[in-house]
Amino acid sequence: MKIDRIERTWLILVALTLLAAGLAESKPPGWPLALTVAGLIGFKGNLVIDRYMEITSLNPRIRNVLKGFVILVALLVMISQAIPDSLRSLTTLN
Amino acid sequence: MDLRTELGQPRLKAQPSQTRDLPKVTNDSPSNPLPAISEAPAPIPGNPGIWVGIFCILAEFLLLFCVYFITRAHHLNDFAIGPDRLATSAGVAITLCLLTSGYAMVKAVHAIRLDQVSQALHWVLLAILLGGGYPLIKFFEIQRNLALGLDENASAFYLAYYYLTLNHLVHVFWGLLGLVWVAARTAMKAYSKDNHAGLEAAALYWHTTDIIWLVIFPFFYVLR
Repeated sequence: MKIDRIERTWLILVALTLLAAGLAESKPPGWPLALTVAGLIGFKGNLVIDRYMEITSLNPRIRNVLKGFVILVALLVMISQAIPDSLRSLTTLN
Repeated sequence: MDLRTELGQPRLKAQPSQTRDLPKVTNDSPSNPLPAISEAPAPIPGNPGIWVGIFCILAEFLLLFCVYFITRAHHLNDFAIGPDRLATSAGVAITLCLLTSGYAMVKAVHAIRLDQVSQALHWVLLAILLGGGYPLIKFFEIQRNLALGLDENASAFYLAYYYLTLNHLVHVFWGLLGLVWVAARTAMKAYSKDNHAGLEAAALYWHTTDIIWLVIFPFFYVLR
C-alpha cells in the first residue's frame, strides 16, 4: 500500500500527539519538558500550515503571519519557563 | 493607488484555482489606456474574508495565551499539579479527532480540485463526523471533571482550563457550521474544479482551529 504525503503527515501528527501523551504521563522535570513542548508546538504547527493548509510559497505574507504565530507561542513557553518570577512581578498591580 | 482599483476593477482575485494559471497581464494595446502591469498580486488561498476571521482568531488566542502564561506565573503550584487530575486520554482523543478531521478536509479539497464532487462530499461528511466527536468528548470530560469537584473554582489552573478550552469549543462550533454549509453546497454541486473557494476557505478555518488546539493540548494536559 502506498502512503501519500498527506497520509504521512497525518501519521506524523498522530505519533507526535501520542508522544506528548507519554510525556504527560511520565512527568519529566521543568526545562526538558518545556523545551519538548515548545518543539512539538512549533513542529506540529508548521506541519499543519505547510501540508494541511498548503501555504508554502503561494502567499508569503499569510504564511509568515501563521508561522510567526506558532513560533511566538513556542517562544512564550520557553520565556515563561525561564523567567516566571520576572513575569510575575511585571504583572503584579501594587 | 493601483489604477485598476480606481477604475473599479478588482485588485485581488478570490479564487486561487482561477488565478494560479493566469498569464501575466500586459495592457500594452494602443487602445487600452491602462499602463502595463508586469506582476499579478499574490493569490489568496480560500477567499480574503476568511483570512480576516483567521487573523482575528489568532490575535484573540495570542492574547488568551498571554493570560495563560501570566496566570501560570502567579500560580505555579496550581499549574504543576493541575494536569494530574485531568483525563489525558480525553485531550488525546480530541486531538486525534481534530487532526483526522483536518486530514479529511485536505482530501476533500484535493478531490474537488480533480472535479470529484461526490468524493469531496464524502470527505467533508467524514470531517463533520470526526469534528463532531470533539464536543461529545468534551461533554463527557466536563461531566467527569465536575464529578471530581474540578469546577472553575477548584484552582486558577482549572479556571484557565475552562476559559480557554470552552472558548476554543465555540470556534469549533463555528467551524462545524461552516463544514455543514459547504457539505450542503457540495451536495448541490455548487463547487467544481474551477470554483471551490468556499470549500477551501472552510477547510482553512478548520485547520486554524487545529493549530489552536495543538497549542492548548500541551498547555493543559502536558506542561507542568
